[in-house]
Amino acid sequence: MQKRQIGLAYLLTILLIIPIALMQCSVDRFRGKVGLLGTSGKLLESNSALPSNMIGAALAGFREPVAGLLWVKADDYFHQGKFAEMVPLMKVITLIDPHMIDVYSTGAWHLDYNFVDKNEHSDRRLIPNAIQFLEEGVKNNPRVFDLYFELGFTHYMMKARDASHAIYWFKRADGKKTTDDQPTPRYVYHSLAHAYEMNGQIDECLKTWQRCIDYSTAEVNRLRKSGEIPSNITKNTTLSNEATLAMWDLQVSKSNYDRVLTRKLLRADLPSNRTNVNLEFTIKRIKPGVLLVSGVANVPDNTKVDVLLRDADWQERAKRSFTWRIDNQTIFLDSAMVRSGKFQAKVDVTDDSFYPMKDSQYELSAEINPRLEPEESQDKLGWSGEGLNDSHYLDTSTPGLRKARKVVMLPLSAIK
Amino acid sequence: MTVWTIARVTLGEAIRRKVLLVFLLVALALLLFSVIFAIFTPREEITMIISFGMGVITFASAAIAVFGTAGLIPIEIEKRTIYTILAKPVQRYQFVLGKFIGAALTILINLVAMAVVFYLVVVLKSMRPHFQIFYGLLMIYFQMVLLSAVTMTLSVFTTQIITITGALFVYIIGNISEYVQSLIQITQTPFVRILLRGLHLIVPNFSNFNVVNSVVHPENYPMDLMMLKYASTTVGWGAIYVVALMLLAVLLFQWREI
Repeated sequence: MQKRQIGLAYLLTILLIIPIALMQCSVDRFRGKVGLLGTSGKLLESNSALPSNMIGAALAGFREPVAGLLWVKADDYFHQGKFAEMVPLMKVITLIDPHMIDVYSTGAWHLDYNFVDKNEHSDRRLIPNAIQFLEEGVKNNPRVFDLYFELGFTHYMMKARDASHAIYWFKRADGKKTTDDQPTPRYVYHSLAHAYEMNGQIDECLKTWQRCIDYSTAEVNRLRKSGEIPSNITKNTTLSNEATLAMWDLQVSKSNYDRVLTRKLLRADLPSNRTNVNLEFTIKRIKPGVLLVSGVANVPDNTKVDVLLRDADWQERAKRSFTWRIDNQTIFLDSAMVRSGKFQAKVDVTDDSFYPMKDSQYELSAEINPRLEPEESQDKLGWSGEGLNDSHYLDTSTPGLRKARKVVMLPLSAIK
Repeated sequence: MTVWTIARVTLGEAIRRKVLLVFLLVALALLLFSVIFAIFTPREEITMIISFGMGVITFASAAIAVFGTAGLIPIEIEKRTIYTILAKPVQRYQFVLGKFIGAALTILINLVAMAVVFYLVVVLKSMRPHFQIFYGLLMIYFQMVLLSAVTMTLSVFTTQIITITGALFVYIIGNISEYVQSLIQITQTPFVRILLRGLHLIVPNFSNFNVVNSVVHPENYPMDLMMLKYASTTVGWGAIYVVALMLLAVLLFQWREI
């Protein structure tokens, strides 16, 4: 090579740094857009106290095996009852492999249900954390239905008992595939119909059941044509899983449609024939931190009365403690059953780790919410309280809902 | 033609080298045994097999790229065989390029051998095709070609041991470049931010080629236009980087006294 050529080669080498740097910026941008950017950095930032060999193995490309091994460890903690150790470990697992769906769903379920006081009351302060964890999972796995459904069913519908949010998440699960590329399972639509019913949106509920009937009817007809479902089904007929599922789906959808429609007709005259619930209760302090709430209500047997004790300024405290720090908040919830017009609930807030009692004033309430009641109670009170009245404690603060709710403010000295 | 001849000879020598064969055999054994390893974890077996297999192939390919390239030029100098080569009508740049292409072919042959075994294990286990694996393997190959270029550049002016150490160091730094990116976001000092940003843009960012997550979880990463843009930009970036490194290697080798 001549001197001039060498000089040019040096110049070219230096100039190539410019496209390299510019293209690296583009790669970073595209990597972010396809969702491949971020987890390695977060893992190193997390101060997770993970053994360095595990961090090294995860960064070297063995992410899923490391996440799998940590998941075994988390399961070990569960069987030892070490729930507090388990939660941060699950957070680390999701940093290593953000697509481990089981970890999000199980982790959130632990937060919701497994942190219980000595009387088996779950720690409701952790519900926002469980939801936050699952929302993070949804963000990392937007194309699969699982975590949308988990949020809607296990958390909003079953735990937080918030049907309107459950509907939102079920709708978002609609059309999303399973991890093995199968269409959205039918139970998602069944749950959506149940959530509509729970939220008092009966016409939407019936429409959803009708959609399920139409879909499964088409499925059954298709399977009949292909011969998978024979024209004569006897006790000895063996059906494929697909055929069994389609027939089951059709049967469940039809019976639910009929049930809701029948009840809609039966409950049609409830607004003109309201029951005065006459909710009332008294409070007796048995010992420091333990209150006995005894009351009456003119409702059918097995109607639930939610007895709730929480800080007077709980909304402010909830805002402040929306992170893992929850030692600022007190919330106790128990459901008492009405028997022969009477109910009784024991409010036990003696466990300081669950009920820190940092406020000077507390709100104690008893509530009959028709949307959360069994069907027999709803037959008298309506889905949304159409048949409910209360001379003193009628609460219509939630649009479209009539419930009975009595609230008493208590100073700390009256409880502790 | 001269470049191609040197490349062919380099490939033939590499195939005969026992060290590289050991890496390949260990990797093949691990790939076959990945089916057994998978049962130790509670996750879907095929997820574990693919993840573990991709990890093994990356590791083995990196070892082959570094160890297979590091000695190509220093050994020729040490054994003085380079004199007989350069005494013929062979330019120094042709020698360097021929050696590099030979190294790239060596990596390709080893990678194909591992890929065949790996893909058979995956398909026999799951009984369905997994086309995204090919995308992952292709990206591993480009990553290893870049690593080979880094190693080659180091090898033209240092000893074999220093080359191996240096190449592995650059590989590790290049693989945690995402962490540097996170540091840029949390660092307050402007000077340090500029320094880290420069480091991130200039150091060969090997993690650009890391697409294992998308191979293991195809349900979350569709092979759409955006993924195609990402892959093509990354390969383009890698190609320019290799050209720059080869130019540098040729210049350094030109300057070196033999």
